[in-house]
Amino acid sequence: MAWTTTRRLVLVLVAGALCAPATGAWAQASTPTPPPGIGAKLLEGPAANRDDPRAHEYIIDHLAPGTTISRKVGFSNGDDQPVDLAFYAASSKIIDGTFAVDPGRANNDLTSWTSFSPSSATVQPGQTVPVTVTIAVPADATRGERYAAALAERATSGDGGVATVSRVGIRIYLSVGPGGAPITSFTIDTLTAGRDGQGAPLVTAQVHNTGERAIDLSGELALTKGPSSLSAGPFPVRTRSTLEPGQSGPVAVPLDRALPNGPWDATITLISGVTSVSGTARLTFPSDAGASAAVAPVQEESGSSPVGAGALALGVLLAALVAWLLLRRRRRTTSGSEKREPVERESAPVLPGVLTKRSPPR
Amino acid sequence: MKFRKMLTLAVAGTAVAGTSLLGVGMTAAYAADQPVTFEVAGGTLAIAQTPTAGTALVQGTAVDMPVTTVTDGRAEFDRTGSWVVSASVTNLTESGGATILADQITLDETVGSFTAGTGTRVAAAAVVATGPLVSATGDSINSVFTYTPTALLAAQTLPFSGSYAGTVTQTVV
Repeated sequence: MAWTTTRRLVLVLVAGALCAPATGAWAQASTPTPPPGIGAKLLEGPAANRDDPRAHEYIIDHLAPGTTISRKVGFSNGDDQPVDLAFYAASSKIIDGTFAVDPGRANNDLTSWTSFSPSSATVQPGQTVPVTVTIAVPADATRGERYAAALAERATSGDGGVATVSRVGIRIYLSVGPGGAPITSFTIDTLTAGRDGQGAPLVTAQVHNTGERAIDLSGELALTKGPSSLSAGPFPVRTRSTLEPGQSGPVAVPLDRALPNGPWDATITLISGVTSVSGTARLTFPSDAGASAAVAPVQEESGSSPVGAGALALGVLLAALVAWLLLRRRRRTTSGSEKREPVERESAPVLPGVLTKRSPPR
Repeated sequence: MKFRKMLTLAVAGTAVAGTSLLGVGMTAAYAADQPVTFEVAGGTLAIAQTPTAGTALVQGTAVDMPVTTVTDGRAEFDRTGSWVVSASVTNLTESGGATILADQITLDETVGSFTAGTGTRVAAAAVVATGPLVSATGDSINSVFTYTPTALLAAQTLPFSGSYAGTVTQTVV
């Protein structure tokens, strides 16, 4: 019986292992006609971050010093003439809630660790050239997050005047440090109801990045418990704000001017990657342009991290192991007492099913 | 036996969940040491400018630069497409060696709009020399935003009259 149960458990464990997410490559996506001009598309991301929407747009990773990674980026030509493109990394900053690429071939630590293969190419009309972006973090790199962009540059003729150059690229958010990825965390410090210059209502959330990674905020706002028990929304956050660690900035949600002034229970849910924070406050819109007093919302945070998932998995497995050991111990005890006290077992008030099954046929 | 079956099933179920979750943890740990990648199924972000010969700036007058189009095909996978164009200008130099510093030039955009799809444009402030010029979020796949940047050279007494050359760069990420 013990051998049978063990075999069952082995089968179950194997089945469980098969339930683990596959880490291999996804199916090859079809390549549609590229849009006009020069284009960039991230072709691959780290499997561990597959559920993070940001990892589908940007190169986002956390690496230990001395680590090297490669990512493929596709650069396309949507025009009707061949185009010569140069590929390189330029340093970037987060300014006023936006991710801004520095002029020219500006450098920082991250750009000096980044190389491209090939570093230039002539791309035919309608074609996309895959470029391998390699980031080699030196062993003595200091802890922290760096920003850059993997760019394709196309120059156009100036003919003596002011020439125009266009560049397109993929943002790089690279965290460096030992151990697991630093936390992503932010707070919604205040919610404010206001009206813009045209009289349209808006709710502004003041967000503080309290974590150690940059955040790109999206989300939605819902209004409930309004006048006559009205509800409205959800209204999407129309623009994405980017904040680096320690920064604070506003996230505004424009609303329909037909909304009554309130008061409303306003709940804003902001998301960056797999981290979500909600804040609720009672707000009343002013009748004229301007803002009402800022209100500190009641907050709720949710999200997950690789460290948290690992700890959860370990905890569940340990619980299973303990349960299994208890079962084995109980079976041994029960088997022993069967031989010694069969009559007492039959009269026990608890667990009658076990005893009934094991009683000899009458 | 009924209890034992229940307990066995409970252990089995827990083991399945635990093993599966452990798989996630192991995946993450493995990915940290030996990155394993997935293929991104998202679309392309692109920038196009109408072909134009070098633009001559006029002191005190905002001069149109080439019409610029940003196409964002990435608005899938439960997300909106969001992009930022940063703009920069170099110093302008004249063949005789005279220079107009970049901080004398202000870049701005005429009011842009979505010409395909829908979305929201952030009202960007004019930038001197370098900075974010315009950003927008598309609500639909393949949204197209078109605008005309302008360059304004501050009125000043030029050290030398002549033809000055420089570069305006627009970068979308």
